[in-house]
Amino acid sequence: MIQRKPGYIERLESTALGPLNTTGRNYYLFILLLSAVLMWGVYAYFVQVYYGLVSTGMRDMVFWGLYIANFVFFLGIAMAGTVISAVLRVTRAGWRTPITRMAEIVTVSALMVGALMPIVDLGRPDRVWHIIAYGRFQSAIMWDVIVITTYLAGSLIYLYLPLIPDFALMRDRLSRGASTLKRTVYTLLAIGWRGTADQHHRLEKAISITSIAIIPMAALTHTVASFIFSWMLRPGWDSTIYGIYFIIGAIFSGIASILIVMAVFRKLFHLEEYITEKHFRYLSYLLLSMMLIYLYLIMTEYLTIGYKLEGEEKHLLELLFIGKNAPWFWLFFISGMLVPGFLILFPRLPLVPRIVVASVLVNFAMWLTRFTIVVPTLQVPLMPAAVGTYSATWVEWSITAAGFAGFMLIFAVAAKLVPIVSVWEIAEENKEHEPEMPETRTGFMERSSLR
Amino acid sequence: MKAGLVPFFVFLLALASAGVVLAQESEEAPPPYSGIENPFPWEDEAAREAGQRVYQQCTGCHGVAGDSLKEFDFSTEEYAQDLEENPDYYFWILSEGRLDKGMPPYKSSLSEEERWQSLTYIWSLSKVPETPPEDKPPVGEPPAEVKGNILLVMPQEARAGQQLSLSATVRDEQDQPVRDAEVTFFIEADFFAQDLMEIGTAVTDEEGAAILEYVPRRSGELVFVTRLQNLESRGTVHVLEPGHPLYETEVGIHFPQLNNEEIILGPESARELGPMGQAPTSGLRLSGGGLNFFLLLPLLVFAIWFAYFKVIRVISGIPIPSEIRDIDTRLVPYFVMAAVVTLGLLLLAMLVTGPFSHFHLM
Repeated sequence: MIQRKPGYIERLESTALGPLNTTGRNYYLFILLLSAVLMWGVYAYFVQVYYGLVSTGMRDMVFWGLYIANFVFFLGIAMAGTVISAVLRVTRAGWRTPITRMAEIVTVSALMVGALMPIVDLGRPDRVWHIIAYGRFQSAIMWDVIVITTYLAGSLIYLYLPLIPDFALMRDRLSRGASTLKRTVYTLLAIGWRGTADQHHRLEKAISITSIAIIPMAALTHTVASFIFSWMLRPGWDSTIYGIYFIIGAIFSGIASILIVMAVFRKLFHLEEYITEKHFRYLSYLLLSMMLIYLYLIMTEYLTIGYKLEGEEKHLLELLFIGKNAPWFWLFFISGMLVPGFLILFPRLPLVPRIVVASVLVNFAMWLTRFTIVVPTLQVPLMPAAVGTYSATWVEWSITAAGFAGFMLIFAVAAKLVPIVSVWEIAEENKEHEPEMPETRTGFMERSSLR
Repeated sequence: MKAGLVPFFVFLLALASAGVVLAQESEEAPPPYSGIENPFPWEDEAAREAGQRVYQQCTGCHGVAGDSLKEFDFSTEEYAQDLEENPDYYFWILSEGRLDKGMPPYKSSLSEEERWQSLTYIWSLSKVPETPPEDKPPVGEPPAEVKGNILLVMPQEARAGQQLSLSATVRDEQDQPVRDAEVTFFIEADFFAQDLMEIGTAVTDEEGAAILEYVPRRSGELVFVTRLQNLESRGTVHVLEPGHPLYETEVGIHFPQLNNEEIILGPESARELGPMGQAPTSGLRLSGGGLNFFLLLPLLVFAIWFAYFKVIRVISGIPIPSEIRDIDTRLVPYFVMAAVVTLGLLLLAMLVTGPFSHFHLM
């Protein structure tokens, strides 16, 4: 439990707002590095548009590769915000408060990067417009565009709503003596927040509606993304399990991502007082249970296919288990299931490092498994002579690297624009748990408003 | 900020090296490719056969005979000559590709051996006697000489979609019927390349007749061929347009109808087949009419975006604090509300106008 000492609120505010005021040289170096990787990816994309998709490893047989694997991966990470934030908020799990903001930023930035990936995958990106102008109701691609747009809009609203009291705090704390621009921006974004009972009621209502709406939206997004595969008569993809398979995979990698982000900011922004070992432990239990459900789904999937062993699917299983994709598949199994499972359950090692290592491994493995979902199916020939080969080129690797750099860049910039922890929620949670010391301080909400 | 320049220079260096990769315009193979030789003799039959399998991937652009691209015509003697003289150059191009000409690199997807094998096969392309593929005997056992004759008998006219009897009669030199011979039937198909497509086999009875029932799926003059080893007979059938559509325009389950008529959203041409059974243009059939579950989808999209709007409206009810006079704090919610309405309507419009968006087909 969080120990409240005198000046708890002051400390919380200065810890949360400190990084917004002071920025070290390493931060700029990091931004520069990320920008360089990003620019390199932009250059690779320019090469791709100039020479066409021939500069990638994709051909007529294997027509999807790294980009679509990245798309599914980033979409999966985006699940973090929903699970951590919305589910825990709806169930009133108090320990969520220090990590909700990070989870919501993960969702927004991963969605932004992920949604770009199918466009990067197009040989004629100018024709994206056609999906709006001539899209067909019965096309999974159109559903995807609709559902991702809706999910992204919902996530942005969901990120913004709990930020309003924090913007008010920044308006009151940070804009004194600052430029008028800063004051104007904070004042506008804080929407006249003064922390009155009526305002609280309004905000709680808005957040409740959004968090209830966003949970099915997340499930829909992953299901519709899976439809793009499962509505095709191809071995492996042609499966009814794909919707839930994608959802669980997303929650699994989403939790792993938030664990990594948590550990990074805990260290960088000195949030040890708020993000405690408890958070790592709770989330690692969630991670473990999701791992087991994912394992169960994989077993169900391959056992069902392997029991019947139709011609094409036999070929697919051979490609996956003993053929040319076997290294990726088994690497996924070891680094995504065995080692992390061991790390989570083995209590001898220090908690935070082992959970973080497990999370990094899980995310790496989940990226690999997205690759083994996309590519091997396409390597199963539809006609005997047509053997599909795929090997990603430097263009695809560069754009993939740029995608990850872009994700981190959005995060790094966001961490300097808004408090990385939800200040008012932590304060409120703290107040609820220890109501016996009210005389040492006035309520945070009253203090944060101008009187 | 001095240290910040290091990654920048690394970046510039990387940029420059990529420029070098792209600027491979010279006509000489650079190291490590320069001077390397084909490990297989050019006439090596095994390498040629292995190369032929690899070459399947190349046919999309270069063609089966290697002559699809006039600038790089593998079937000419000069090309083979040049390949023999400068194998390193061609191995380099095959390995690293030439993106400006549309040639992808294969060094990561094909082994070194496979690349040389395919070059060996490409070398042999100019040596192949120019015979169209359909005249080659079918793969397998070389045909034994069969003496006698085969005669394909068919009706002169048939209708697409209806059964057609193809009868092949085999007789030996003494004009006696041949029993228990397996006769293969083909139809001449024009699918990227004109070739014979096998449609079935039948065994001759005591009268020497093998009969195959076949349902032609298209109309026009169809050429049928029957073969028994080296014996062949062919004939043409005039196949009439089908009396009814060959393909069902309505796929799916017939749900109970709310109204009598099924709803088909889309241009008029979505309702019927084009000439010669051509597929109809894009439209959306709502099986079950007004009861169709698809109609829930726009409702769902509307419900979600309405919820977003509602949420922001709740927030916009927060009044402007008395001490802030110069800034209208309601600007942000109003802006978000406008954005939500615009985006939501756009997505709804996308969904609803989809079936009608093919205006040029109406």
